[in-house]
Amino acid sequence: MILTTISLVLFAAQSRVDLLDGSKVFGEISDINLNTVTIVVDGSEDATVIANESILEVVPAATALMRQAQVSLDGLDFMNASNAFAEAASKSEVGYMKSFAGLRNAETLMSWATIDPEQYGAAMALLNTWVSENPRSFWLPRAQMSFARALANTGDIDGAASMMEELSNLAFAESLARHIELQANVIRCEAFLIGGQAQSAQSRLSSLRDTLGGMIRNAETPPALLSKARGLHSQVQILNGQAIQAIEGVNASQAYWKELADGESTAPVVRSAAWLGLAEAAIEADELRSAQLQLAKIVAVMPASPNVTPQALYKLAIVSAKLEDTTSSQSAAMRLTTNYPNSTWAIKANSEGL
Amino acid sequence: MITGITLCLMFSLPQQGGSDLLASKNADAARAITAEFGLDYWSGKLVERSLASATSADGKSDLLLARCDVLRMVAGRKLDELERLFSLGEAGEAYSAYLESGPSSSRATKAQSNLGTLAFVYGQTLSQLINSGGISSGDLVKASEQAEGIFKAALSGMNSVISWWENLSDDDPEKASTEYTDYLPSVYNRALVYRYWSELYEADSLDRGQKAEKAIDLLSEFALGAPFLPQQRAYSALADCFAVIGEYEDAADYYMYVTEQVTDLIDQEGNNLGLSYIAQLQDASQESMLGMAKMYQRSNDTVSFWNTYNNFESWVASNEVTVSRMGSTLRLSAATQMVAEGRSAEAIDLASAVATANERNVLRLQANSVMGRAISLAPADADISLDILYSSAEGAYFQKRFADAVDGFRLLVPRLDALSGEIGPKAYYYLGLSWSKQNEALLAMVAHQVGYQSYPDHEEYALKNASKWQKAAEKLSIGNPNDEILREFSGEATVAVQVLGGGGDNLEWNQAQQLLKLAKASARAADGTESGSTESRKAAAAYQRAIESLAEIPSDNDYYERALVAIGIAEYDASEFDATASARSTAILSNYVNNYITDKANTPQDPLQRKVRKDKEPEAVFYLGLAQRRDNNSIGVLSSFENFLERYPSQPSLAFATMTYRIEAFILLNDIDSAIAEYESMHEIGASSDRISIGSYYIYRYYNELSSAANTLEQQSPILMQEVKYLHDFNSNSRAPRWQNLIGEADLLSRTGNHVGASKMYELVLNEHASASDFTDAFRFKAEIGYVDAMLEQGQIGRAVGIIDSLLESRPKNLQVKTAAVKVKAGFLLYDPSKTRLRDQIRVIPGELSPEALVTASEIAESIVKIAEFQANDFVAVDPENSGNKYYYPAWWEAQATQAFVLYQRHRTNPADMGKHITFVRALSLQAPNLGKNVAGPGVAASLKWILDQK
Repeated sequence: MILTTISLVLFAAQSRVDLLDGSKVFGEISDINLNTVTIVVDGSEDATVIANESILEVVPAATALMRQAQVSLDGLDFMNASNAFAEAASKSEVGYMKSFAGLRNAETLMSWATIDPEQYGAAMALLNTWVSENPRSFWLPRAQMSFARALANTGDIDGAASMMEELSNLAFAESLARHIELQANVIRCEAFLIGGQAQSAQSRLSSLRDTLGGMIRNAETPPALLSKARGLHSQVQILNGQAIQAIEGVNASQAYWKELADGESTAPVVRSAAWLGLAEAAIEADELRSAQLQLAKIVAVMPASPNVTPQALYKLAIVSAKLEDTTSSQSAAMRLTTNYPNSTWAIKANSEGL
Repeated sequence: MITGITLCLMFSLPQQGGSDLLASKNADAARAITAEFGLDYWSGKLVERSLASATSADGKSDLLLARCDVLRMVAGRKLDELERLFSLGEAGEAYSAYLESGPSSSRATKAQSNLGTLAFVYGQTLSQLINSGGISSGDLVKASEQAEGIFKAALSGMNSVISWWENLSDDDPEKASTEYTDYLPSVYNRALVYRYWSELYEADSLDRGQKAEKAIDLLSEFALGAPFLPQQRAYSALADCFAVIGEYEDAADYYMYVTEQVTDLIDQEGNNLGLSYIAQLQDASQESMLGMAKMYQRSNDTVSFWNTYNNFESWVASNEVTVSRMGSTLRLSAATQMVAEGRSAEAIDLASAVATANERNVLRLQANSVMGRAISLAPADADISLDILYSSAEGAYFQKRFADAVDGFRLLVPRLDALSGEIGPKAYYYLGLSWSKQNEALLAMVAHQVGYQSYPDHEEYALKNASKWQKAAEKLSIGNPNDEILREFSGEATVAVQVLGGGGDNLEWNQAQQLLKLAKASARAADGTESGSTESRKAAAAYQRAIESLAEIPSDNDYYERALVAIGIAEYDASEFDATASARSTAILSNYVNNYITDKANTPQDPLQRKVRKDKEPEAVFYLGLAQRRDNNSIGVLSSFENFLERYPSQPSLAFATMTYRIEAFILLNDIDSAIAEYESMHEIGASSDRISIGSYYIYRYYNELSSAANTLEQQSPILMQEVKYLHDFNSNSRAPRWQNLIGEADLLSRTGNHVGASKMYELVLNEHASASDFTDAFRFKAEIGYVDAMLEQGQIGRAVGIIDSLLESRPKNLQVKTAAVKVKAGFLLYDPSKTRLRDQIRVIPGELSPEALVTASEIAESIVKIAEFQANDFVAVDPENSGNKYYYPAWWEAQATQAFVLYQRHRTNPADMGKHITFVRALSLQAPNLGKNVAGPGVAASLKWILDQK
């Protein structure tokens, strides 16, 4: 037997505040609004007030219903997840828990909408009400970001872009955490790309890339913010590739993707996107074998990601079938429909009889 | 939670009967081989072999029990819980079967005891699986059925032991000596079996309640008289039972009672207790806390769960407790709960600490598994130690959870950088293997590729990754011979292996061989295409690539000599698509045979080299001859293949082939005598039939061409005799002679007057080959009419009657059929020129001769005459003045003879036709007094004269 090396940390169902400096504060939330969070840390009688500008995220202690909803959501059972979040919102006696559960419900509907676009309507209605009822909520930026995505995906590009511009301004005016403004701008670019305004997106992406690059290089950027900045930077890199692809075509984007694919410091998610971009260019040039090898790399060595893996599996199945490599084709199709049954790519594969 | 191990003391071993000492020793040895060394295969083998040679019933019984014990021990070692469960089940069923076979009482006691232990472990495993959701509903049904059988058999056995002990009188010394070895363990395990049995039933069901209550009764009874430590464990087990039936408060009371009792004892008596005993007491306490925490976890009471866990950690910290397996399991439960609450970072830290503290036991794997789940929940960029990520994924790999391993390694590898040189290449290697284990060859290959390319300098794993990449790429490339990208891809992989010094000499050779395989595959694709086609050009290019690769093998490589010969052979193969290649092949192989081999510097130095020389020299000579043959260099062929068998006696099949090529070469050089002499020598040395067949074919073809060119029958006859001989040799030596060739042989036999042989051959074809798919109606007719003609030539109509009727139906207008039909219906005359008197020269062959047959014959004979007259109009005679004159047309005279014979037969059977044959022939003789003797030959004239004489 070996003596324990575990330090004594007491665990319980508590709320958590993730700070930009990477630390976490556990305790009971006594007040939360757009600008501050007040929390009573376990073992202390005094409340701690934390300003928004220091906070990355606040995760309230989950109730049994919330946990149940989360389990359903993890299992892609959107309907039950939504119902459970709605029930949690209606039963909650604590104001911030009510609004948080309501937001989780709207976010669930947004996830659902990615595979069933008809759910955008319900999601937007819920988000619209939520935003108007919670104008000073800590989670207002998060709600508005979801709302903007919904608007963009349903064709209201201007609505989405102006909402994100307003959020960006609000973040600046209210001294909210730095990543909020940056994230709002990234979503704005996303909306432009969805709306076919690749030029508008590209110029803004270029500026965002510089800003985020600066934050990443800056040794004084707090750890959690750094992590967030890295994530956004990756997103910007991918969106930039998509913009190049939209403006100059698949072949023209090849050089960009290749540079990212070969880059030593390229983030995994970006490398996946780069390999996917290169595979698409190979498919366009009818170089199916190169495309197959490229796509196989995404599936083989990149972390499973609902954004990239289903697409890579679908294309791998198609390309392998064209190469008469039925084993690889069937295997990729099976992985796609088994592991991502509700993804648009799996639905597409099913409808095509893959 | 219950620890059975400390209480499951083995009963003392009964004395052996001594009747089969060897079997008994082997049985013990088999147990030891498995228990001590884990060599399960060999222990199984030992039991099986010993069983086969055991002579006594006792010996066999010993060995059968050992087989059960081995199965139990093997099952107990399985890491995967489900695998362990079903293996234990098999072992349990083996014990039950053994007990039913009626072993001696001492062996039965031993089996019952071991089955009791097994039932406890089985129940514990099943309970864990049910509570963790690690068993599917289908498996649960199967396991429940199996469990009932095992539990019942185990309980029956334990009850027997308990009854036996209770029936011993109090003053019996055996009673005291077996109380702690036999009795108490049986009482305790019996209770536990009921407790686990209860869990097979639905919560709140009557069955669950009854079984749990029974367990509670038995444990209470046990606890009353048990010493302190077993008593605490019994209380803990009691608490488990209350938890099973949902009596959480009672359960909590018992759990806490155990903790308090242990704490009090240590507080009060600590100084007097041994460290080992204190550790056991603390373990009992940890078991109790674990049971309580699990109870709350299962009932979703997270607040109480966390309280219990927090109390545990406080107690551990304040009392400097050594955390036992139970405590570590409790920590893992906490980590699992953290995962459920989305607190992945804390879960990872806690599970990682458990893994580190349990480096060498199964908890490490469980900890890795929890880590894996926590890691998969963590954000993509969560700051998780690479070692933790690696341990988690590696743990999944070694637990054969390959899908989990893939997920784990895929989370890890993108986080690696150039500085992760130690785990990076290893991670890619195991990632590749994990894909491979899931039959994902393509994904495995690219994982190894990226692994090598990311860490090309790692001492061990760079080569391992490169080798895996190379082998997979090579296989893929061979499967797609025309895929240039795959060829380059495979080449890159080979270079990678070579750069790392892997593969040895044979890597270069293997790579060249791979290119040769690709070339052969291209050649197959080009087979049947036109010369100069895209496929042909691709095949030629593929051979050149292979040749270039072979040529790169340096002279100090072990495969150099093989490569030399392979180049020559590849050039020969390439000559199918590239006319210039055969000359190169000849030059290369000739150089090898005449210069390389004869150079003393190249004399083989060791057995391996001598073997290569022995194999390659004849192969080179053989292909040299083939290349010369392709270039129509018959002199070269004769020279290369001369005395091949004498030179290379170990290569008879090549030698026989060379002899056929020599026959062909002699014929091409117009030296038929030497060809025949070579052919005869093939018979003398006993060459294979296949090769003799080929040799005879060459000679047959020679005579066939010669007979076609012959102008006269006199010239042709002796040639035909040779032709038919070699065609017969060809057919009779062929493994599966073609029916076309058999018909050809029958025709030739007919033409050479061997009608007996011809009819037999036709009959053979009709009997054995007529059902062949390519045996068309035209060929059937040819064979049938050939057969009829041959039979008629022998003066027999026999089977011809049926055939000719059928032919008359199917081909009524065919002249050959008509001619034969008349003969069959009315009979015919055979002429023997060797005789001098007319009556001796002519022999009458009788036909069917029925009135209907004669009517048919008359009609056919008349139509034959008409046809002959019609044909005679276009007849071109030697003397132009006679052209178009039927009296100078042989077929017309033959038709007249046929007509006359039919009239003669009618004369014999029908008074109305009396003498008509005489009138008919006289009329002919008035026009042509010698009855066409000069035109149609003496046979026709003699026949007509004979008919004229018949009154």
